[in-house]
Amino acid sequence: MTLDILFQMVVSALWALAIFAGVANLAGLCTWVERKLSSMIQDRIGPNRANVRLFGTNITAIGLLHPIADAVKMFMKEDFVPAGANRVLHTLAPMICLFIPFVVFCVVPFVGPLHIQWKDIPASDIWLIGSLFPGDVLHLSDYTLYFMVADLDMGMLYVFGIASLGVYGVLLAGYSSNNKFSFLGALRAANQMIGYEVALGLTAVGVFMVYGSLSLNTIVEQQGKLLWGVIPLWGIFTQFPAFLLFVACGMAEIKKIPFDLPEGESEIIAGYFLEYSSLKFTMFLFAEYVEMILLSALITTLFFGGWQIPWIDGEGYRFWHWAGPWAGTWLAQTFGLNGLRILIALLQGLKFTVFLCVWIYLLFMIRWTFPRVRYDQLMKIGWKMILPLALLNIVATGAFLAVWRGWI
Amino acid sequence: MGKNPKKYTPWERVYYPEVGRGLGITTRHFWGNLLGFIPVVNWIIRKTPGLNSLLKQEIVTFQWPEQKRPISERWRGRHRLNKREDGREKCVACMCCATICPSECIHIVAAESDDPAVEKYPAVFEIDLFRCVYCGMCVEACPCNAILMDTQDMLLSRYTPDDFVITKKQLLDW
Repeated sequence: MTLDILFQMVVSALWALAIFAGVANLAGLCTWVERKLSSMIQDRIGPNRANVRLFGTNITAIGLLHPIADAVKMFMKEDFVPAGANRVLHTLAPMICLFIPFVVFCVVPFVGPLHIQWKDIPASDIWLIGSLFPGDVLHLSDYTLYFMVADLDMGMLYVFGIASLGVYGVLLAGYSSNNKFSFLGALRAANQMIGYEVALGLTAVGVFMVYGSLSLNTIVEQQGKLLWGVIPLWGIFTQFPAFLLFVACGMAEIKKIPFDLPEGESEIIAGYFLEYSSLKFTMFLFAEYVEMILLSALITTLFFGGWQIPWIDGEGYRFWHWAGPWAGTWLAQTFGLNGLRILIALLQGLKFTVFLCVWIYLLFMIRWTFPRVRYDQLMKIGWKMILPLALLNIVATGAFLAVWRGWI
Repeated sequence: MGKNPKKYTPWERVYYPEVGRGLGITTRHFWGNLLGFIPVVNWIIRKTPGLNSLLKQEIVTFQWPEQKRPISERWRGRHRLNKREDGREKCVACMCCATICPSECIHIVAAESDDPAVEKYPAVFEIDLFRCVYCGMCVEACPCNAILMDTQDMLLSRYTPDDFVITKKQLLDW
């Protein structure tokens, strides 16, 4: 191991913490957003009563204290395990459910690679740690820092592989609860998730074909290219049918309305997490929001250019016939080249976050607009409509690419 | 499947246009309500000419109990006993209300009045609010206009079950 690798590892570890904290907080905030948004849609006001009495005034912060109040309430509740339930599996299931979506986040690139051209730092100048690497040098004069927990070459396969493990949490929850409604919900969830897993994978194949990689980072980098020098080659422009199908499949995969049969309240009460209370219930609830953020992140990454800001990146700008590197421009002189690159990296993170939030908003809007589909409709949409269309998309994309790249 | 399933047009069967239309409806409600809800935005829209149509707040929430919902005058709330000019109860303990009451929630013990103009008065007049169905038949049956249900009191919450049996004193001084 060299100092260069250690530096990247430290950044990755810190980045993992940052993503965990960010996503967890966003998921907590999502509970408030969902309640407020649904109430606005239905001409209500929504949560606004949780308050802190400070200096003689009630501070409600437009209902933002409700997630905290909910958390306190959930902590205080009895952790109930029904008679006849398998205690081990009953406890394990919510953990699996929450673990899976968090783990998938480690391949999602939130910010592009940061190219640093500063100066070399010899090991002797680094306090304490430097003594472990005698004679080594931290090459910050020409260093590319990746803000990812893991840049896997098989990134999307990892996403699908781990996400499909999520069905275990759901299935075990229903199976171990010793409740018929729970079991029904779990069976529905297993059927739905496994069924849509196939379609979800196949819809994304078109994207892999266009960008020629499974690595999420490479896919995003490829989306920085321009068509005729103007239109960014985002997934939504190159793979529009795949985008529509991917969103539908994703909605089914995270068990949200209109595909929320596993927890259909009017039919099987709460489905697979019916027998859960207290923090275990919160974990299921939380897992759902994390899954939703994950789906938004994947849609942003695959179809909206991820962190790519159109026409500019860390190295330079290009729009039609205006193109050139940053070095030497007045921007680089004002901020310094490294400062400008850090600024652009922040902008990239902001762009990703904005698109992420817009998609969370859209998923909430869909959730609060549509009624649940019937079970036969669900199966029909998955197997008889989305799957053939996804296959057709693969064939059409392949044929188009063969002609475009001159293979035929 | 119903007997006459609706025939969907190809446009509807594509599903996505209809999804967009549905989203349009909820989006209009959401932003219409939200824009009016944020004070600054509300102020800007009100002050900007031509933007007033954006401000379509349709929120129907009443901030109960601070903000009471207007109720009709003839709305039947908790009972009260009417008084004469001298401050005594109008009730003559004729038992009409107790007789007609379908839920048998009125309990009256009559006593001889010391007023020569009045024959009887209720020594005990109790209404069990748990049993009462608020039908208003006691008010209709009363020959002296003594029992009324115009208090508009809907906050019928007490700490103990005994508190729900309201006495003559509570009925007179509501």
